Amino acid sequence: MSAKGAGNEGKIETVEEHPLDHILRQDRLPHIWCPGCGLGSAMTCFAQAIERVDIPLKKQVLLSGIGCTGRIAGYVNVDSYHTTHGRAIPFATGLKIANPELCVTVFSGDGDLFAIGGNHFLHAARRNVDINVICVNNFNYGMTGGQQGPTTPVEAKTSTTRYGSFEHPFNLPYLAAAIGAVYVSRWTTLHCRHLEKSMEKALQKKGFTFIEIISPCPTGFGRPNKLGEGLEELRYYREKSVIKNDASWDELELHMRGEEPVVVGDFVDTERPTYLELEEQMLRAKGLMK
Amino acid sequence: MVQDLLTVIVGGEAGHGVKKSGNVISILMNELGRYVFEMDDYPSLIRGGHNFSVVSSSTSPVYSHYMSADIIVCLDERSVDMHKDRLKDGGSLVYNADTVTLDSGSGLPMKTWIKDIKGIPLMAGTIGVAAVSALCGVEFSFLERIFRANYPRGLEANVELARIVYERMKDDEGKFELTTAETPPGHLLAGNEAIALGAAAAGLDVYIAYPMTPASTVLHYLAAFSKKLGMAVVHPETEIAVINMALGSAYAGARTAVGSSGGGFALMHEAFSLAGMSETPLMVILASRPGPSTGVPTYTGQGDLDFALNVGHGEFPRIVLSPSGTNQAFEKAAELLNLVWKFQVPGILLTEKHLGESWMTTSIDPESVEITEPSLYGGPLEQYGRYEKTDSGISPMLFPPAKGTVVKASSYEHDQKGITTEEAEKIMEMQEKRYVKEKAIREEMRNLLTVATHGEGSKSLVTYGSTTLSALEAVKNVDDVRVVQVIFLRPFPDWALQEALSGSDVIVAELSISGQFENLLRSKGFDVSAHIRQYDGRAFDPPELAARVREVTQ
Ligand SMILES: Cc1ncc(C[n+]2csc(CCOP(=O)(O)OP(=O)(O)O)c2C)c(N)n1
Ligand code: SF4
Ligand SMILES: [Mg+2]
Repeated sequence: MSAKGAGNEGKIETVEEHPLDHILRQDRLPHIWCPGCGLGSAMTCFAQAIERVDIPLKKQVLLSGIGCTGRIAGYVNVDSYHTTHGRAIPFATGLKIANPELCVTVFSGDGDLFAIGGNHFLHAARRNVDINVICVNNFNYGMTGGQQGPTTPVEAKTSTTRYGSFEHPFNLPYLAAAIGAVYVSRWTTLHCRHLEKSMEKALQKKGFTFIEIISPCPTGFGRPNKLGEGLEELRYYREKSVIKNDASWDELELHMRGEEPVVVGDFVDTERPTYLELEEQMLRAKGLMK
Repeated sequence: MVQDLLTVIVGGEAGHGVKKSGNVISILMNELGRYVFEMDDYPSLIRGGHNFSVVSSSTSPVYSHYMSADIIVCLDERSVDMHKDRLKDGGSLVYNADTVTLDSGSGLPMKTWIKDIKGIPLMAGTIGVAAVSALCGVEFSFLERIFRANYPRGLEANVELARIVYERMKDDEGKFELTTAETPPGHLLAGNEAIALGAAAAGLDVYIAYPMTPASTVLHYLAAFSKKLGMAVVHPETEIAVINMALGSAYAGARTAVGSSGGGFALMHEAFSLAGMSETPLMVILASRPGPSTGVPTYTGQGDLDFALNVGHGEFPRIVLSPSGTNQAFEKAAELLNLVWKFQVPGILLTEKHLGESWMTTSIDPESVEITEPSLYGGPLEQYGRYEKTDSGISPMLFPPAKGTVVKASSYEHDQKGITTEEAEKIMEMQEKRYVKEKAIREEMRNLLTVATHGEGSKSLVTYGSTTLSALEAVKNVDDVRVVQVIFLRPFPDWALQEALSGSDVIVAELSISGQFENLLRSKGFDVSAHIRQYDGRAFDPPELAARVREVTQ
């Protein structure tokens, strides 16, 4: 990257060429995200991961729905399609069926993937479609003004829960595992190395993979909940986080405040025939395919 | 120089507190006894990019903002590039001397000052407000009072900054001598707030919405005041859930509304048609932005007219209306909620970002709104049928649980009792019953303001929605042109429009490339002699619109 995001100072610093320059679209930078937002880190990890894996960039396709997270697809220099809000997963399924050669990744927000798009997530995982879903969980709808979403913790204040949220949020890794994802992990944006490794693994793995990235959103979530600006919010998540790959599902619940840790790690890594493999198996068994 | 109309532009990077300072300038002007129109221009709700606010004010009503300004405050360098050409002769340019050097205008070392008092970047906006206030010769104590009410956090620091600004701008103090009045002409309200309040005044019990710009602020506003208003406000997981929850809520007897923009409302079509079939009252707030698809979320447009008029498969009556400014938005929102309950139909309040997210001096009286109760069943319970045939087509309602009977409603075609049917005669009977309601609605509309004529003139500039605001401001400087606003769009008030036009030349102005509104008028048999269209996501700038009107009417 040769440009730094627009910070408080509003200045663009230019540095020498960066090894990821060809992956991030220079003409689109600096990015639009708020100072302190975790999305820049999440995107950098992804850029690093697609660079490192043994899959040519020309075979990578990045899809997103609508939201702050969804903007990532526009910045990464691979083929991309910015779908409508919540619909990236069915689009990805269609793309994979039409051209199984492609490595298809959906990068989107918690609201996009689990509120409006929740149904699609369930069915793609159930079918074990060979796509990767990366969700940036910032506990709210960042782009539209900090509303409550399906991952907002109980007690959290948002622009639609002025007195605090009382709905039980999704436990995303638990959900993904329960409906059949073959690879499930969770990291915060401070766990760069782990996150990047997980992304590499997900990209190379056959079947439906899911990564949850816990990310600060100072504008929509940190400030109303007095978690401070981005860095402080991130520090808060880091201090609370413990790596535990064999965590039980209830340990993966996330809480607003209190003693409970944020458990991160690689929770599922298993094998299951994919949607297209199953179709082929069936056709062969019935003698409809040689 | 004594000045009545004054336009101020404040521009800066998101995070400079631009919107807030636009708002405080509006409040200041309103408190000085001036009518205000404020338009906020922002590329997205998140922090990146350039934001600016335009505040036009005067001692007589200002219906829309102007893009040429008397005072331009640039909090960063980009604002200078973007806005400097918009400065009127004799105007004042105030800029951040820490980031730009110019040979004219007032350069204020904003960053340095903020640093000196250990402030935050957001305070650049405060400096902007103080500079405008000084240029307009507002007494410092008056400004301090405005600050006290609007910057509860960091008040001392903000006041101190303002003092520094006043000191520095001493020579230019009072350069613009504003006309003022003793009392504020009204309250500042955004269009979406006026809509929300109108619905609330007409007895809205439940508001359900999934956020989507530019409709989201209805949700925020009602969520913030839900306790005070005694209203339930729900934000479900998708627009499909939104509208189906709303139908459930209305079936239980609660006056319910939903709100969204084009993409979100598109997801509601199936259930909108269900509302038509099941005769479930439902109010929809449809706030437009330029499409198709995700389009341009934070800008304005009128490309959704055909969509609003024709949504839903099958044939059923519905009401579509579109208000111009905040006062009318309040009245028409209340009226629509009453109408959908009276006629048991879905109804759409079609609006645009230009109304929904702009701030206007408003005078409304919630006490003036009467709540029309729906027709309720009072006959023998064992005979109750949810879809009983009547002359008006309106069947008396009962809400579950209704002791002694059952309330059966259905998405299938049904008989008078709500039981599914495929019988030819019964299908016809129900189709006709629903169809008759349209006639009843038309009758009712004869007592309502369906077309508004503003001003006088032998030619008519015909508009709908918030484009009416731009037109009202434009014709102030055009001879012999009146503005005719079509408020009800379906059923179409052809009788009222005929009367309003009375054979005059018709010029249609709208924010649409294909001229959907013009086509609607033509389809209803009206001649159009000229049209003016714009489709760049912006509202018409009144002087530009005036010039185009002159061009086509000369
Ligand atoms: C059908 C539809 N409904 C609503 C919207 C408005 N909208 C855009 S992004 C968004 C929420 C984004 O939240 P999330 O997916 O968590 O992303 P974040 O911004 O937090 O990264 C919403 C509601 C839309 N574009 N389309
Ligand atoms: S609103 Fe939140 S998620 Fe969006 S850019 Fe700002 S900090 Fe990031
Ligand atoms: Mg989110």
